[in-house]
Amino acid sequence: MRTTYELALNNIGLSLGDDQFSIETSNQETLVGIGTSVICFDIHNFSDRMNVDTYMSRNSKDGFSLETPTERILALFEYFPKLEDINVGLGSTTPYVGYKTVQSSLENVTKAMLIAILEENSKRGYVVGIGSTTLKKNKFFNCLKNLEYRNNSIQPWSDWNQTVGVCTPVSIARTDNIATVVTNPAHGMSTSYDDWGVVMKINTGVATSFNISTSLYPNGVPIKIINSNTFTYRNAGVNTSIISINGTADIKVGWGGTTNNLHLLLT
Amino acid sequence: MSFNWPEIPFTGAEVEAFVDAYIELAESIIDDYDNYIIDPRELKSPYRYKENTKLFLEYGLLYSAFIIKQRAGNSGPGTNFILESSPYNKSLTDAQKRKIAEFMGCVWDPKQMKDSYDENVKDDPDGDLPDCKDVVVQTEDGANITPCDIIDDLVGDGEKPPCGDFWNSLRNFWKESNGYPPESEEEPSCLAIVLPSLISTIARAIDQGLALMYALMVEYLKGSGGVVDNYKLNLITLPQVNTDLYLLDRITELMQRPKGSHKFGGYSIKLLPDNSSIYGVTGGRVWLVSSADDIRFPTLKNILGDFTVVTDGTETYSIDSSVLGNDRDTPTGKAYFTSLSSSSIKQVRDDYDFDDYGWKLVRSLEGNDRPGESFDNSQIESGFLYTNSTTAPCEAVLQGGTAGKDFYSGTARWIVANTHGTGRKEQGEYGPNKPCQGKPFAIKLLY
Repeated sequence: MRTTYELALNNIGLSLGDDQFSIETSNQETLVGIGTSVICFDIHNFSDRMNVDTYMSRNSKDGFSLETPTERILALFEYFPKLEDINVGLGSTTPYVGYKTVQSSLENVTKAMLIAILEENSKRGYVVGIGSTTLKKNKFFNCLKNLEYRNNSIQPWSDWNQTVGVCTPVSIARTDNIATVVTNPAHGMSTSYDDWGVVMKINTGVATSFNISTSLYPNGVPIKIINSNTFTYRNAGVNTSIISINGTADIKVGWGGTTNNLHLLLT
Repeated sequence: MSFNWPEIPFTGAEVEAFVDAYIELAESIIDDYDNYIIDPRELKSPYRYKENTKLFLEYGLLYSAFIIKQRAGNSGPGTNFILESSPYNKSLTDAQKRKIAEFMGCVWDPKQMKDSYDENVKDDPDGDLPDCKDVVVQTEDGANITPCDIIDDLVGDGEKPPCGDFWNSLRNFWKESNGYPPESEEEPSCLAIVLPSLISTIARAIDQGLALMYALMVEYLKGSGGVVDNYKLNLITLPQVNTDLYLLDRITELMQRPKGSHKFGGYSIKLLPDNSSIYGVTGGRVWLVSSADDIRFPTLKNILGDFTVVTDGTETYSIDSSVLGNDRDTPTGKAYFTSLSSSSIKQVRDDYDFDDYGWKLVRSLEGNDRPGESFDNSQIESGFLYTNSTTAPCEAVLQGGTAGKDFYSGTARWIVANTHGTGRKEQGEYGPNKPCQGKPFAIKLLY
């Protein structure tokens, strides 16, 4: 197997450094020491903390990063090569997918197993469900099926994207592609969990640019709680501040509990 | 089909129950492939081969077990996100380490590294530096920059000497880099340290010799003076490696270069008549070494120029009688080494100065006043290109010929000259000590 595949499958990314989640990663950004040896501290988390699948494999997409011509061709023909194919190296005709594609696929299987094994909707819980193996396999494969073969009446699609609450935003601002939302009354989300997300539904003029597409992000986007009335989320666009808005924000729960940051010490 | 399950470094009843259920379900999933219970065509393409699904299941166990441990909230490794408590220690093979290094834009293989530098030297007629556009460094915000970008910001297309607006350009560069004007705007010479320091940082990531070259230049521009010994040399370059030993290897190689177009009758060394005991080495020899024709990258001529080496006398040499005139070291000819070990070298001495467009350190070569020894300000004078009281730094540089396009021989000249200031200064006129006006310093390395 290619080394890049092995690294990807070992959750090695060396690319977190996410300011948006700085509380979770305080003083723990990826460090690299190159002296007599290579020492890296890496942090792994799901690339999509809210949804059943990754953005790259959402809806009708297969999960290719599409960053190389090879991947575009593979996506066109819906062909994913065997990762352990020994025909690699100089002169190999085995197509080569990128590490992002491999990690996306791994993430989807990991999520599918958690959904299949844990009780209820598998969010926040850790107790193994009592259902039969067949039922669990149905859930597992249902996570990984093409859009047209999904069974939307069973998990995960039947309940994963449920809204757990609604709050009322009264002002919103965007600075350096980070949106800050102020709610009144308080949003009600507990800081004991790091898995909150929102789907913004604002009706006011240009403020609609802050809205979240539920076709692209069916279970919303992750947020960071600032205080009882304020939270932030990533939102690309021009810097702006709107002090009076109408609309709602659907509150969602994604993958989490306390934290999902797995620290990797590479020696 | 048998699985290769990873070891799970997290324990606890919840984790164990989950892992058991995971393994049982995973085996059943693969059975569904084997027994045609699942139609792979219904799945997204990464999961159509059971071999790939098996791999994803194997590698997915660790992280999902970690999530269970987190959610269960019981004690032990993996329960919180403080670095000391939750790492999964993963030892990598050399191939994997190399791949990580390559991901970071580094070349890991020693032969590739050597070939890369050889290629750079071959393509560069000056043998000084690789083309600046070929060195790409990623900034913290993810942008790719090259030394070319920085140089272009400073000197435009390089066609015109940057005399007129040199400091404005440097100030602008500083402002853009830092988002605010420097506190020392009224003292433009301090700005001269900004760019070399930046380049020095880049150089550290590229090559040990480059790091040394720029570190010494920054030391000059800081105006600290004094003597740089082994400890300080290692401190200002790359503390984790022994730059003094690196330099010793380079010098040992340079001194044994075969006869060619070198400075001293075709050789890179000149045997001096000095008694080595003057330098504190009994029974040794004193050699003047020229790096003017050093061909390795980066060249020692940009690091030390001509310098003095004191050996313990264990080296052996022969005489080339074909060398004539002043190039002869003895009445019969020119000395050249037949054997030289780095262990024979006991001292490397030099004065780091600029005897043309910067400050020059003058030695009497009497008593202790020799390269590598301490000195005072009265021994400093302007380089020879400052011919009168109105000679501007820009004029001095231009008299020295056309500046190269690379940083060290190009932009660096302007920076060094500007820290000198306008007008020739004779011995005794330098000072008082002032940060950032440039000052020679001595180098004395003992082995």
